[in-house]
Amino acid sequence: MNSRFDRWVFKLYPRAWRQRYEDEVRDLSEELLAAGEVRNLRLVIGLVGMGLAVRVRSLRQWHPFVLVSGSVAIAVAVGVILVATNALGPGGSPSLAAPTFGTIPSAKGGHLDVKAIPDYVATLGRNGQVVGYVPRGDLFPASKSSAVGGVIPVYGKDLKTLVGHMYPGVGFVSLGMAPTAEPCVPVTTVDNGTSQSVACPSTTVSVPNVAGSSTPAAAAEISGMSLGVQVISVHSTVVPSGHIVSVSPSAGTVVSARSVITLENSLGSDNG
Amino acid sequence: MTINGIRGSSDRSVLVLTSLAGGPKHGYALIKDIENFAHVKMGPGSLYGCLSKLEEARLVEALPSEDRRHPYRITPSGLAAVRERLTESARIAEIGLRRVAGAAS
Repeated sequence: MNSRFDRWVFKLYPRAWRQRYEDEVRDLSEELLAAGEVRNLRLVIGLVGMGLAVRVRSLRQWHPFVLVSGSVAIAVAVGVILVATNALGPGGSPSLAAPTFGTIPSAKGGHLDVKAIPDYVATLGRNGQVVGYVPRGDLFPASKSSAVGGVIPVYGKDLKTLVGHMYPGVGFVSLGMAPTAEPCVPVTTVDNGTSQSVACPSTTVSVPNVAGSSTPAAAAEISGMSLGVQVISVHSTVVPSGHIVSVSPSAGTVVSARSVITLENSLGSDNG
Repeated sequence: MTINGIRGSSDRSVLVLTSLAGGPKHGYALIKDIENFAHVKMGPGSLYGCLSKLEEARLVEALPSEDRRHPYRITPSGLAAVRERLTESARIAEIGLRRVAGAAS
């Protein structure tokens, strides 16, 4: 090895290591150089790299305190910087107000936690007043059966009495009213001399047979057909409570859209 | 003196232990042997960096010798360590090669 490099390369290594290995390594290096196995510069670079690695290793061995305190100091410095730049600490993401019964937590600026929503969620009318309550399962439908055609039933305070429905794109429509939709106007377009018209969808619908079904489901189904629903309760010894006794106009009748259908809901027999 | 693809000191240790598992050697023989079976050229710096670590861990030991260069020999715990390490690598290699063959088809 070039005696110039020779002297300082080995100074990188800890004394104990040098005592044990320096002679061997030097001899081996000479041998490899002489045999043309390795080039001087690469040899030196390798020895320097290893020297530093061995140094670090010995540091770890004999001065664990240095390493530990150094790491702690760095961690503290990083923490100070983070707090100073407001990445951590108070004033981070705003916490959502805990939802009270019947309120939909605001998702503004926060992460909406579905699990935090109570079982029934208040439905707000156009003026922001509470008009009824919707089962949580309907707002985030796990089973599609409860929201027919996207129309979600809304219940009163007792969580049983149907008071209306939520129509997609329309909002809350109370029972007995048909959802108001823009009256459809047939569209005629003229394109290169040929006229095309798009007709309105059919404005008549046939009343479904919902006798015997559960009242909320029947009301939802009929509402989903753009028909208004009105529910009156009667006693019945035949039909169980909460189910439909009869439909008026009767099932199969063709009615125009937005007509009101009257459903008779059973209260059970008159004995109780 | 380039170490092709083998970067970590633990990989180099495995090479050294594997070489010594074939019989005691001194530095030059170790380098040539590793070059032969692994196609990796270790320099004296990295070789002795490895050997010193292995010696500290008692996985290899230096044999007495008249001249300055000591032959090194693997210890029983060194044999156990390299056997375990190579078995694990072989297991993973088998899984990996099987998957690679499956993915290519």
